[in-house]
Amino acid sequence: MKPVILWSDALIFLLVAALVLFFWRLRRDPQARERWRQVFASRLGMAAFTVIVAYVGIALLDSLHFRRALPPPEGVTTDEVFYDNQVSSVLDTLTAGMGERFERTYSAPFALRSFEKQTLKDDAGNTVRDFPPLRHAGANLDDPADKWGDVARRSAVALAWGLALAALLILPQWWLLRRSALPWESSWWVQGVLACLAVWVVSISRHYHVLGTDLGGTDVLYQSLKGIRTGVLIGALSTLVMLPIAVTLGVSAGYFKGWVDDVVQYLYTTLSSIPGILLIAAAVLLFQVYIDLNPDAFPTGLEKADAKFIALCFILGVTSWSTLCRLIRAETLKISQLGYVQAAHAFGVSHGRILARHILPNTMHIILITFVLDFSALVLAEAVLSYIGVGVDPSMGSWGNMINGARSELSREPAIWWTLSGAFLFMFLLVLSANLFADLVRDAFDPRTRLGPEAA
Amino acid sequence: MNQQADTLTLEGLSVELAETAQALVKDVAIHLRAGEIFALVGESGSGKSITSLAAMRLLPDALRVGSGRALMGDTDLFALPEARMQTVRGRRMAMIFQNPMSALNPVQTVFRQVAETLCLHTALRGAALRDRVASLLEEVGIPDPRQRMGFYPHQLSGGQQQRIMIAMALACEPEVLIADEPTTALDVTIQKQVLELIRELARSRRLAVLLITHDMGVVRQTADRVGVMYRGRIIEEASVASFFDAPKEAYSQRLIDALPGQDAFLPPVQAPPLLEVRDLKVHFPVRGGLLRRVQDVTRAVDGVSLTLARGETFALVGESGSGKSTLGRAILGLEATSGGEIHFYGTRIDGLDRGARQAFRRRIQVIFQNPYSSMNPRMAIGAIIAEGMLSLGVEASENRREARVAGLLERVRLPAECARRYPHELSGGQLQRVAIARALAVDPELIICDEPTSALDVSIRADVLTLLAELQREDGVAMLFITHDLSIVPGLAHRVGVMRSGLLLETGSAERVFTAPEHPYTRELLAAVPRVKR
Repeated sequence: MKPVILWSDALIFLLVAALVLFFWRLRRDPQARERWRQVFASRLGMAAFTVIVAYVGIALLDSLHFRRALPPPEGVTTDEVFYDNQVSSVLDTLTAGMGERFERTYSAPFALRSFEKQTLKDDAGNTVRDFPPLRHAGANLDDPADKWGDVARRSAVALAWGLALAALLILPQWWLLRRSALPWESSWWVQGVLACLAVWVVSISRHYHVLGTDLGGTDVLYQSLKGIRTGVLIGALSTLVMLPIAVTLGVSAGYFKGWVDDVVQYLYTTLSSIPGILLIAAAVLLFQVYIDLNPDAFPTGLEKADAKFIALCFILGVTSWSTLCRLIRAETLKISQLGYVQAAHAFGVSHGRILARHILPNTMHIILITFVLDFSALVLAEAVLSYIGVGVDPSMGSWGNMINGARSELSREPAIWWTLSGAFLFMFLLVLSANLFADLVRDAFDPRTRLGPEAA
Repeated sequence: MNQQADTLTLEGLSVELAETAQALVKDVAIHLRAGEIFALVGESGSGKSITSLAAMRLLPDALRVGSGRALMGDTDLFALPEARMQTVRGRRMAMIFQNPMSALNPVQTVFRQVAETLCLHTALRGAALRDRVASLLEEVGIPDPRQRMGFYPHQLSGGQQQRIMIAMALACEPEVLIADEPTTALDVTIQKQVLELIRELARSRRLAVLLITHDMGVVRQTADRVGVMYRGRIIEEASVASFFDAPKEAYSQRLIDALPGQDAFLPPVQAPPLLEVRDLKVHFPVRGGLLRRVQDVTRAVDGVSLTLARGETFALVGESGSGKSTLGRAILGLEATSGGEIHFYGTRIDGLDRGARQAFRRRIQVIFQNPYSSMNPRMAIGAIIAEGMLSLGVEASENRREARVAGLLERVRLPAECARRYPHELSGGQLQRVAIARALAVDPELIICDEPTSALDVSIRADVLTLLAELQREDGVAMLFITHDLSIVPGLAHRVGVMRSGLLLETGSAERVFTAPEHPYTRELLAAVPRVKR
């Protein structure tokens, strides 16, 4: 086994580490702690956060990549180890080869036979056109009529294991947090349900395709799971690229005013008057050409796809900073007129120190709110971009690509609905949780939504 | 006065937090009579605004009426369904607010806003409606009402806006008018006019007025009866005359005493000049048109000269927009000057670059008006006070800095443990003490006090002023005291300068300016100051 570290893998781990560090440091600021407590004091916030953490967890598991060692070819004795050209992730291992049980083409959820007729030879040797049985689904069954009974039995066993896993997960937390004032029960319920679901999905999909298969015969559920990493990464990385640009430009425009302000304003006015999708499409195509001209830099297919993906995140970030920049500029203009900044000037405090100690900390709430709100917008943006064909590489599982494929599938009769449903279900859950969480964060951090003492 | 029927009676009113049932207003009884102005006096947080909102049934969601009745005739307002209450509001009871600019809708004309209540409650339409609005505006003293009806709020002055608010309130001839700090946002001369208008209307219309204020001078000049509110209770109620002659409660006495005397003046200081301002001009460019060229200038300060001696307090008095704050900021180097010179100990300090300015930062310090916005909410008090020392290198070692912070807190009479607390945990008065400590931290020779007390309650204001005077005696620091409040000037300042429209109209010793004002504007200002002693 040979570990492979893709650029995006490194970035996602760095990102998660940075977030954990950020929360850790927040513990020292009593005001911020109080606000976060407000976010987590609501059951909804707790549940939404748990779902988000689960998504991030899956994305992290999917970011531990490696290439399997292949057994030496028969009859050859050599010390050299050959590695599979296919890069796998820990998630692939955990899902017990869900992504390796290919069928020939489309099949409906839980189907035993293919969705499309094929020319077959029956036992008597006659040529007939019929729905061929699937290679993997239901291979364990002696009698196809017993399918649902088999599913039910396996589900019961899976549920038992799921409950056991849930108990294993929740009991230590319960022991640690039973005196906490926060509604951890909500989180535990969500964790329990997710644990049961995970065990069920893994065990059932050994013998069936829970969400069917797509045109290439890949399990749709597996593709949706792979889409999580793409979705989480695109949301987080693009925001991360955007933040420094928006914060630096916004704060300097609002603080230094004058020509700096003019330049920044012209920049974002120009940027926001170019249709965003056009700009992104052009940039992505340019990068595609670069990849095609430099094949040596990207040895495996996955690395190519990864480079393209990071470029996409970068481009999305570079084109979407203007809103946040405008907000921060306005807030900085306001803050720099306040007494404490004036007082700092009167004390001869340097510009850098004023920015770092007085202005940036007081625009934090805007940055935080935008980060959480933009996250879901960017996940959706990925779907739109992939739909028009300039998104992530088709070889990389993503919800946008699945939706893109669904275009032709839905127009068939009978329609193939499961690819779209799979992508929709997974995306919906993430975006919904992110939005709910964002709302709570905004309520807690936005000074305008909080009742001050003067309101009473 | 014989016992006449009350127009509005509040009985046993208590208001509590909806969540915890903690009472904010307890057992308040108020009797409002027609033609009489009842003043509810108290400091911020005493519950006077909550009382008035409760009477209108306009409490915010977080609060609810715990018990009590609000009687208008025989109807209990608290028992009315909301739909009926809406006809009472505006029709029988009306309210005017503190800030006319935020209470008027900026995108509607004056006519539309005044007519709105009339349309809701009366059958007047068309020409009759216009006539009615015009006569209302005339009644509240808007000149040329027919033409001004088409104006938008921003085209009117603050005083006129408040008059429009009053006209709106009076539109349906209510029996009760609730005025919540109606003049706090206005300049003294306009405050006087608006108060006179309210008094006049109370007489002519037989209005029962509930006047909510924190200003004892306003009470003395306007009200017939007064109720003192303290921590949610009315602790004393009396007619204005007997109240000011012999208040029963010690707290009431304190409120009255908090108004500084107008007859004790400080002697002039004989000392070498510290600060000299010669013909100073600060002009702000007004940009417009293509490429934002400078088209005109606003002359915020237009040729002001003054000198300030060591250990002297110079009070710079003027109404809002007179340029007094801009002058202070120019001396601090926070505003670029357009002409004239500023000398500090004979060294010219205007137009210095950032580095050269640094040497004077330490010697000239500032205290701002709003203590809440002049402290970074994310820094602990100790760090706020130490910031100046750090950047000006007053105390290099951390231990010495901490010791100095503790010493300063003690000097401004705050507990030492304040250093670890955050601004939102302190009250306005405490924060202003922190601001004083912050300024003193670098041993300045001149402190520019920009309205340091106007955001504070009266009793706290007196404490802060005493503290400032005391520190001046001890350290011999000079102060440029910028204020719109003439009443605090005697007893505080050695000399006074009166500013209007960027010009210094009159300077002189405090005694001379107060007893024998030369400029007509100074006389007008002095006449408008509400006085406790008649």
